[in-house]
Amino acid sequence: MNPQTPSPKIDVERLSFYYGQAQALKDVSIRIPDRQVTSLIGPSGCGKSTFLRVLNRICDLYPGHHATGRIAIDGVNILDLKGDLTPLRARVGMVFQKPTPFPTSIYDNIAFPVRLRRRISRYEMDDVVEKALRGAALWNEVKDKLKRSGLSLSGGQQQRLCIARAIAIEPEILLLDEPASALDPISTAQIDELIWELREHYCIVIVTHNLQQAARIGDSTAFMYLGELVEYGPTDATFSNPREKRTQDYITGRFG
Amino acid sequence: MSNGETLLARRKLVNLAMMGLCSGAAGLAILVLTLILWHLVSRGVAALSPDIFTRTTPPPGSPGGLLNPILGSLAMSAAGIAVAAPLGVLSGTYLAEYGRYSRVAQVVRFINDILLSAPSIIVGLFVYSVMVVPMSHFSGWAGAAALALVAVPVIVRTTEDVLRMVPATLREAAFALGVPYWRFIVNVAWRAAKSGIVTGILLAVARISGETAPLLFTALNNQFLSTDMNGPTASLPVGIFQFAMSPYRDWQQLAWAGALLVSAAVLLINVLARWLARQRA
Repeated sequence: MNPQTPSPKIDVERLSFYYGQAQALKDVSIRIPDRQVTSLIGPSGCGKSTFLRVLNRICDLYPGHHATGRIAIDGVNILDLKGDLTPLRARVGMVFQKPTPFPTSIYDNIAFPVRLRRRISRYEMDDVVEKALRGAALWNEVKDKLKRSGLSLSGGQQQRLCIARAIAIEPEILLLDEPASALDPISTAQIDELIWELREHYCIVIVTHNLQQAARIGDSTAFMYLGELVEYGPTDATFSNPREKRTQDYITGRFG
Repeated sequence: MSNGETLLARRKLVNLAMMGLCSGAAGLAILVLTLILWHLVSRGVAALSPDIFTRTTPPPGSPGGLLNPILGSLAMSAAGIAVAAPLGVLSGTYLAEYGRYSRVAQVVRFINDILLSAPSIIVGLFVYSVMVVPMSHFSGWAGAAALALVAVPVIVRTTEDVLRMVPATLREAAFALGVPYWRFIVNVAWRAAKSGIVTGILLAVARISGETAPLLFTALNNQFLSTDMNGPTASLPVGIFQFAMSPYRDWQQLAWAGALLVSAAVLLINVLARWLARQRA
């Protein structure tokens, strides 16, 4: 559907996903371009979070979950990957609904995953940490307390710390699963602004319940319903002139 | 009186009766506990003297202390925990992480629960038959092994429980960063559960420092000061057992002192464990 660019970053073909017997995704096909923000919207339980969790195969953590179809990232089907998935997950970063800082210092929250990929000096690490925190618009607030626990930050700060942590390992794709739903409006605005800046460097896929957020930051918007991809196109078109009645009903608040 | 008011009055009456029963039961339990503690402290403190910590166990009628049982207990508990803590923490980690969904883990967990409630004298008999008999002598090492066997299931259980309380979102977040499983365990899960794991180990220490049955036919006893754990080794619980059963007044005095020491140590460890459990990362 909707081939906006000749070679999409993520090319999903006929993806189905099952939680044991229950089918959560039905034949989803979508081509997600690089260096753009793609928003996924839809009512609770429509499969949008599930879709994100298949893209970095975090769903593999649980038994009985399996996917069929094809997800090509840069042409390689990641559903075929066997064994160690850590390289894939390092390429496909993810930020969750609830902030998930590790129980260590702000500095180590970022340094820990970086250290696993690269052997770098303390001096270089300081740079990496600063760059990531600046990238996540958190540096000015925490530069004097890098040794403090990540848990001591406010919810919005914790979420930006998680984004900083995700971009510090320089992924190619950033998956955001309702990153602002647990935050107040000011923090939400900060996160939105941040996403807008990050889109220049990453392929970003964001799941959101907040339609204004989708309209604000998404280059493209996909509407999902009951495990199906109903509509996918440029954000303006999806919001102002939806092709499908279900999409129109959802964005006008008739259900969901 | 209307129907509603009768019901209300009845409910209040039942409430009052239940509250009375519960408070009475709690009061009775506390009363018994207080009597035991009071008895122990008054008799124990009377028997305390510097000699307790500086002299070895005497023959009846001579002055002496509890130096050898104190040292023996410390050494055997330390050796037992040194084995049990890594074994227990790693097993608990297996159950909570790698074996989370496996059948093997279910079986291990079930057996661990049985061990947890197994009478400790059976542990003593087991070590007697697999260590003391083949080596043909009692030893402090056998005592330490028996204590370790008592401690392991406690540590396995608490470690698994606290690791399971680590939010799944933290696990997912770590994996989403490309962190390998063992790194997640070491750097995130253990760290998040640190105070709980340490608390579990401390509770195991408290548990084994009062155990008599596992030591009776493993470490036996030793009335002389000995630093050789290859030979019979004295311990406070076995010392208390021996002295309290004796007809000699001075030995009975030593038993009271020993009992007070063990209780004080257990109390201290429990307080420490509670304090640690309250510390958050």
